Amino acid sequence: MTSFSAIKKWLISMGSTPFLYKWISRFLPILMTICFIFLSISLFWGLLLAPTDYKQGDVYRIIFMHVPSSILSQSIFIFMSIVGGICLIWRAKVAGMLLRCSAPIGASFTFLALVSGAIWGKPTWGTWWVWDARLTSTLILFFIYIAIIGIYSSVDEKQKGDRSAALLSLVGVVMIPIIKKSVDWWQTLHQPSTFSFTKSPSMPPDMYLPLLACVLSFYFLFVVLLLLRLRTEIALREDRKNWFKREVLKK
Amino acid sequence: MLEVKNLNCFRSNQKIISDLSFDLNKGEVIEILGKNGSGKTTLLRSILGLTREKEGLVNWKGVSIKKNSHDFLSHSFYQGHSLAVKTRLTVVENIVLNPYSMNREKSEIKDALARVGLKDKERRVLSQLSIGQRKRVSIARWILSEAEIFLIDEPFSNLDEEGSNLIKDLIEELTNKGCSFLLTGHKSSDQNYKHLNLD
Amino acid sequence: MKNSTLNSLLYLVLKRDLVLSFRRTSTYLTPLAFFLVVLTFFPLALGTDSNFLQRIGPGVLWISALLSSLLAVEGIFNDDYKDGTLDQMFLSNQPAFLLIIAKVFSHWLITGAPILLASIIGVIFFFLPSSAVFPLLLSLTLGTLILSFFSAFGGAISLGKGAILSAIIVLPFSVPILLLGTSVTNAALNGDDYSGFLFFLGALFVLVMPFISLATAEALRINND
Repeated sequence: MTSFSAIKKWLISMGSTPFLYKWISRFLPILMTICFIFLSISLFWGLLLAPTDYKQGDVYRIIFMHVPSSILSQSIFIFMSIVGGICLIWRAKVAGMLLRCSAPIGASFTFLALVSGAIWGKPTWGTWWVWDARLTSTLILFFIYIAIIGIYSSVDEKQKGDRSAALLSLVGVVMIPIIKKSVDWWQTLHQPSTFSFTKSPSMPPDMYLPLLACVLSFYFLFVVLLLLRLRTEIALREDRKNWFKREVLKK
Repeated sequence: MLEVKNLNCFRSNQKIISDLSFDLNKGEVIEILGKNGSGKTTLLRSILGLTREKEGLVNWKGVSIKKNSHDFLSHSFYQGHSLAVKTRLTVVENIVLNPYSMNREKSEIKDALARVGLKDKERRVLSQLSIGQRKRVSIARWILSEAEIFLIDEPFSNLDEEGSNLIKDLIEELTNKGCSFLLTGHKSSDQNYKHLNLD
Repeated sequence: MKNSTLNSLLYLVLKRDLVLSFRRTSTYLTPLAFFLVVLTFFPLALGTDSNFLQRIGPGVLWISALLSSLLAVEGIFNDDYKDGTLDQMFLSNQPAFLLIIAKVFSHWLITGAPILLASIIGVIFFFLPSSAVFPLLLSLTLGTLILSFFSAFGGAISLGKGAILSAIIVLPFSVPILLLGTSVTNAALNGDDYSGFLFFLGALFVLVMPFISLATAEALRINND
């Protein structure tokens, strides 16, 4: 019971920017170290130690980057819409900042997913790109990320920009399933039955365990990057406030 | 009629208005004075609900505006800096196609336009009129709106002496009928108005 | 605002926007002209073989309609925002999103409906059979209507920030419309049953319209602050 109220207390204090800034500054170095170690281990495991696929050879190893990136790109989008909803409904400043900070990270992961998908495609199926449902919807997701980044960067007043971006991400999260369904179904009309990037045959444990590790380490990476950007965002917005001048600049 | 208690208004994270309180009674005129950027426009827009970043209480006829916005909006009139006039429409169209002054009798419209000095300019397109004349179109809407409270942002700007006197007479006429006015401006325009300084 | 019923306000918004649009010829002529120009450039750039043109025809018509509705995005709310009319929409005691639906509808009448007529020229340019005309017109009607609503949202959320940003916002959301719309005409060309696609397009319209209008109202409130 007491741990629950302690968590609640911690969450409420996270809403205050001085507390948040100091907390991040304190814990970020160790979080970054853990993340680096975790990421290195998982990638090493997947890229070097996991067994070779009998069908695709060593090329398949790109999935250790492709799958986590694409999972992250969608998770971050959902995260942005949740945080955006909080920003719009409860006018929470920190929620708006979280949205603004996670957008470029999400866009980068989406881009990474697209590029790693292309790299996978070339040796496996001979083309750099294929218009399959998954890749096409990922491309459109990338465009929506760009639109969100475009919106908040075009507005000078930060909180107004946050709110517009929040609204756009809410509309986006509602439209994404519709877009996916329509692309899915359009693809079945145009290309009868082709290979699918998504087909993941049952993997033996020594393949899906490193994959799981990579996915988790990518989530960790997102959290670290987000905290880093959040701290910078707080600094950008509150550099004139007294607490900042006192604690950060004088230190 | 209008009670403002401990109003705080924010704009881009800065407090523009702090702890403002005043009462506007029936038939009264209050002129809010202040330099540019002191929050005069923000105050009016805050009361009307166009700006949502605020704390404090605003009551209309004793009830909080949040609960009673329907009644307040039905009986109020707002004229902002930009007068909500369409330059591609004629004077008459600007009256008829405006929610404040729609559905009025032709004779009433004619009288209102004559009162503001636009008698023979009814069918002129607004782009052909001067800014002062365009302002008079907006003033004609005051007469036709049947509102009880008028929130006017800088009513005397862009008007010559004749225009300013027109407004003063109109305000006097309407306050005698029981309407209240909340105006903003840079300097006092009439000794008889109550003044509130935002600086 | 006294005595303003919902119907009278809706009628007011519709009438005012239509009168304003007709006062300036470029408002209704430009999207139409742009549609025709883009249409012309496809055969110019890609070749004029009639079989080829027939195959790409429906897609080209849809892309041209999409691009010309993006061109018109800016005009929806910018003028009202600049001259203070947008304030009055929020002060009117009626739900803003209903007034927005009226505004979008009048915008469609000016920019979308003429495209329907001009698409007949497209049918001629791309040698489409006359059996394709009816499904094309039906799908374009629904499609341009939905696009107008998305364009309104794009224009509202990027109020005063330029047409290109608005276009970037609208384009990803217009993908389902594009896919469904072209499927209707392509199915009609192949002689298949296209009613299923039309049904989905109609369902999309019914679902999208209230949701997007609410989002547009909120976007306008945020930007009008």
